[in-house]
Amino acid sequence: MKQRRTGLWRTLTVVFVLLTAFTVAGSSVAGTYSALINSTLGIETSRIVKANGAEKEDTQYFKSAYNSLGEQYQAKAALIRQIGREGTILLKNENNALPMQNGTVLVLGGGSFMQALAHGGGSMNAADLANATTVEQALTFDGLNVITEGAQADAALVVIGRSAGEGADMPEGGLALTAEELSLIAHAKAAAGKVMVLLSGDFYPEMASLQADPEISAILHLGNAGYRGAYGLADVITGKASPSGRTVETVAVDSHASAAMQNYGDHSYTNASKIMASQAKTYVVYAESIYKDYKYYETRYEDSVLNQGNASFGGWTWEQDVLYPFGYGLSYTTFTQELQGVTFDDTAHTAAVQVKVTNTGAVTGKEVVQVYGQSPYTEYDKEHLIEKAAVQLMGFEKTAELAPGASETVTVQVPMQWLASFDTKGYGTYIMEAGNYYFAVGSSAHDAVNNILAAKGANVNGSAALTYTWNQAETDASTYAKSLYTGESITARFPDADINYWLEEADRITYLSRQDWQGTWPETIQLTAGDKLKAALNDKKKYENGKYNDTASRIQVYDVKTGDGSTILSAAMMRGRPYNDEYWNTLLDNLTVEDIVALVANGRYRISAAPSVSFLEIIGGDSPTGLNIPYLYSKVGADRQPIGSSYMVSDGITEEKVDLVPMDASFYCSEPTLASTFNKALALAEGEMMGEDSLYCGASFLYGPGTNLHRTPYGGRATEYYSADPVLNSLIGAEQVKGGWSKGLVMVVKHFSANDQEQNRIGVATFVTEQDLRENMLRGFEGLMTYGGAMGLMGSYNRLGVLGTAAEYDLMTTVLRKEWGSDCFVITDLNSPTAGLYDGNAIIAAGTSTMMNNGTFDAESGSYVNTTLSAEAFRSDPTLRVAMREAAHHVLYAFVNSSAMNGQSANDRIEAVTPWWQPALLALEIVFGAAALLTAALYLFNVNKKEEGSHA
Amino acid sequence: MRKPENERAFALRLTVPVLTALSMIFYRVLTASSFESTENVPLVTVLLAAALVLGAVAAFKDVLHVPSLLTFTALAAAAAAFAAGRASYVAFYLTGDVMNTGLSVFFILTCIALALAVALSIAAMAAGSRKAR
Repeated sequence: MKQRRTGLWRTLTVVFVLLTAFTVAGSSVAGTYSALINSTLGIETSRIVKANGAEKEDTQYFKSAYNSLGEQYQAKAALIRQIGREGTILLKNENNALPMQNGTVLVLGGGSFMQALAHGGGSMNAADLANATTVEQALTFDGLNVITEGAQADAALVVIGRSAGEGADMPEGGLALTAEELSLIAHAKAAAGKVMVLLSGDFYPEMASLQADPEISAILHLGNAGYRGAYGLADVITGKASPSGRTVETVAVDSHASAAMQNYGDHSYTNASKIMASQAKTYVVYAESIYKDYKYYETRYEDSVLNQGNASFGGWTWEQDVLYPFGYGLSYTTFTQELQGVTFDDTAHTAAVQVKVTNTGAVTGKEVVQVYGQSPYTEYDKEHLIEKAAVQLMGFEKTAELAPGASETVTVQVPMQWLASFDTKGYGTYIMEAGNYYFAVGSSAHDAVNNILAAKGANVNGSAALTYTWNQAETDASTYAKSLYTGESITARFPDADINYWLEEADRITYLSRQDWQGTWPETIQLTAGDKLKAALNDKKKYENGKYNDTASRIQVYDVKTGDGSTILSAAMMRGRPYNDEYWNTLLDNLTVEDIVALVANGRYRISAAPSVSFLEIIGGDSPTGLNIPYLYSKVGADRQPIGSSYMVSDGITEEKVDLVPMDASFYCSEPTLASTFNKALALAEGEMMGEDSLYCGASFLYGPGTNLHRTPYGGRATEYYSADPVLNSLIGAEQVKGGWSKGLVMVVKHFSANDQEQNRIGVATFVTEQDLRENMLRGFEGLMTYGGAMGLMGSYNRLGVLGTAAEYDLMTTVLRKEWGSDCFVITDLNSPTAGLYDGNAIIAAGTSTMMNNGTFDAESGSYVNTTLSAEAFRSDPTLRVAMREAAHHVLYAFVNSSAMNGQSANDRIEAVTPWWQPALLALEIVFGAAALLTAALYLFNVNKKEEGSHA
Repeated sequence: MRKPENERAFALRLTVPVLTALSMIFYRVLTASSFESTENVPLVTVLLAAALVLGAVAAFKDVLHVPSLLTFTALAAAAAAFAAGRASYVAFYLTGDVMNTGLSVFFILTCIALALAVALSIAAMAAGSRKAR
């Protein structure tokens, strides 16, 4: 009996000790995920206390254009259909195979496969892919008789596609046609006289054989179509619309052929075992320099035609490498484009290129006008290792629907600064050299090069009439040496992003140069980390502290005041005031230390509340295909108002009803699909619609769009990045963020910068030349952050050189704020346990505003795990105090002008609300702890009493 | 002369500090070779050290059965602190939220050694009380 009692108390002691230990530990984990828990349980952590008379004020600063969520959803479905329609690219159309207005079509490979390709992976995951329209549904809706099996049909449509996503590049061999796909095509040929192939998704398989196959009449491409984009595809197939999409990257015959592919993927230092940090063992060197995608293919083409630079070494021809050039796409009609003139505005440093477009065919359609530019490649360039692409996209416009015979004159505005080149080794800034410049209108990048070559007298299939030439007499090293946005001097800032900075002279690499394609063709680079590089990578804290010290010396220190929480000032009072308004100082002086730390150190899917200035906690979410958070609440008042447990609505295209609540709002086509439209108005409309979504979700920020480059055909996150071209990215992205901001949605543009592959993305050292960085990777962000006015930006997981981008002062402050003039808030990428690149001090001092932190908050110390930022750090370091205050300023500034202020008057106050589960957890800890003590005492009493008894 | 069951109990109690020592070694190698920890490393280390000392004491002289109870408590606390810090890491790995993460060998070894140490410390408590028969 006594034995059993002892055993019982021992068992209970063990149970309660374990429960206590894991409940205490669980509390800290719950703290980490408090945002997610609160969001899932629908718990608000703050509430508004309205001021007297506030009900008379109209505090709905951003309103929906629709009367209900149902109306908005219908408009959204129609928009996505339109994007699908204009984003469909017709790549081949023999014997007028398309359009197909009636008859029976056998669809092979569609169905759930296409639904699965409605979105990519990672941050683009959508909640309910089963609701995405399939090509079968869409073609049936548009009047075709669709079958999915059988041996006889008028036509067969074979759907093939590829998908990758966040964290996973397309695997090696993933772009080759599979045996199953070839089998489907063979089946299609046997079943129908007309065979069409649909490429579904944002990756292009190697398909030269399909283009060459005379039994395949048509090839179409539609990127990830979202929920309703397939209807747009069906509109094109059935002729309700003429295709007007254009490729957003070069489609190569061999996906490994480009210069960039020679250094891509998984590369570890040969002495990686000597490198301590687990996220510092890998690298990628952009040895191709500026020659990415069409800049490689078309520049080498020009040099091969002009017989210069050994471009034709190895018997190279453009035709052997390129299947479809950048900007390519067919139509059901024909157009002519006539370059009517170019007008320069020397004050604004822009050019206006007028082009008259005429529909010379029999079908109504839209046409894309693409304007490319060429700068002269000079002896100075060769001497100073400046590279020049044969063409670069300068701007574009899309016509309205033109009926047969109709014309429209479009004007394409072109910023002249993009013709300047960054001269790292000479002037150390942008220069516009003496020589001949060209503008060329073309139906693709290749067409533009041919037009320029024709203007130069070369015997090619081009038209000199579609070019405009002028001569610059003297080299201009001053106009573009200052930022046109702010007047800030632009100088070389990133010497340590170049691998040669870290190597001994004998080991330095040669970047690809058009002066000798053969002699400088990139080899796959094997790096051994020498002492200098190893020291920088090994002791990350020392290096980052060293960088912090360097950064800190650039920060002007001043006396920072903080508040005690008693002020009547509220953040809402600053709505509409410029960033440098003096009243901001008054408000910031009243922020408590705790609120500053919270705003700056804890930003995963939430912006922390700052109760001392009545600033509410703000929610938001991923992704570039729309907010992947539910429509559960709308921001129609001071608090989020529940929409209801179920909200059934038809999408306005079919009668099928959809249960919108609690579905998330992530419905859109992928970014390459949007970019394929080459339609800025559509990009603006999509941004506005995402802004509408945010009003119906009660959210005020979105992690997107992404605007890194399709550096290679294998980059896994291509679905979340517009294209291979920085100007296309900039122009489309700028419209999208403007649209979102018009509804008060802060779009957090990502990932800044040089995050162009998923392999080893956490910590990979990206080595680039400064010219490549500025003219390619940064230019892809420039439009969104400047005239796009984006109020949010996200750093990246990779290193630029050896330093994590979020801690790079010259990215986050010099370029972003001083050169571009942006006052946006900047967040790190997810600071997860496995992304431990970040020293919070270095990050905030560099100009990043908040950490997307997954750390546990320790209220006692006022600090977050995973970051050095804390109340103590704030109090002890005067430089960090200034940096954290400015970071908080950026966060508040972005959101006081957003929809987060909907429902809030300048005179309202907020109160913090403790979520119920926090005291519940504490109670459990106390109960289990007390039980553990009691049962332990009883166990010890019993076991020792038993021993006394047995000894007696 | 010790009775056989006392020898077995002694051997069992001795495995606890041995496994605790192994846990400490694996844990220190784990935290020294990567920057991925999010738990309070000094706290976990101190708890393991305390468990090691208490476990050794309990093996030779479990005065009033307090050392063995405290050994188990220290190990339970160390395991909980370690799990709390690594929970998000494993959650990321399982949900694929952060890709390209790999569970390192020393992480797995630490988990196994620690789990065994906790289990054996419970068994040691039971063996100690059965000795009193």
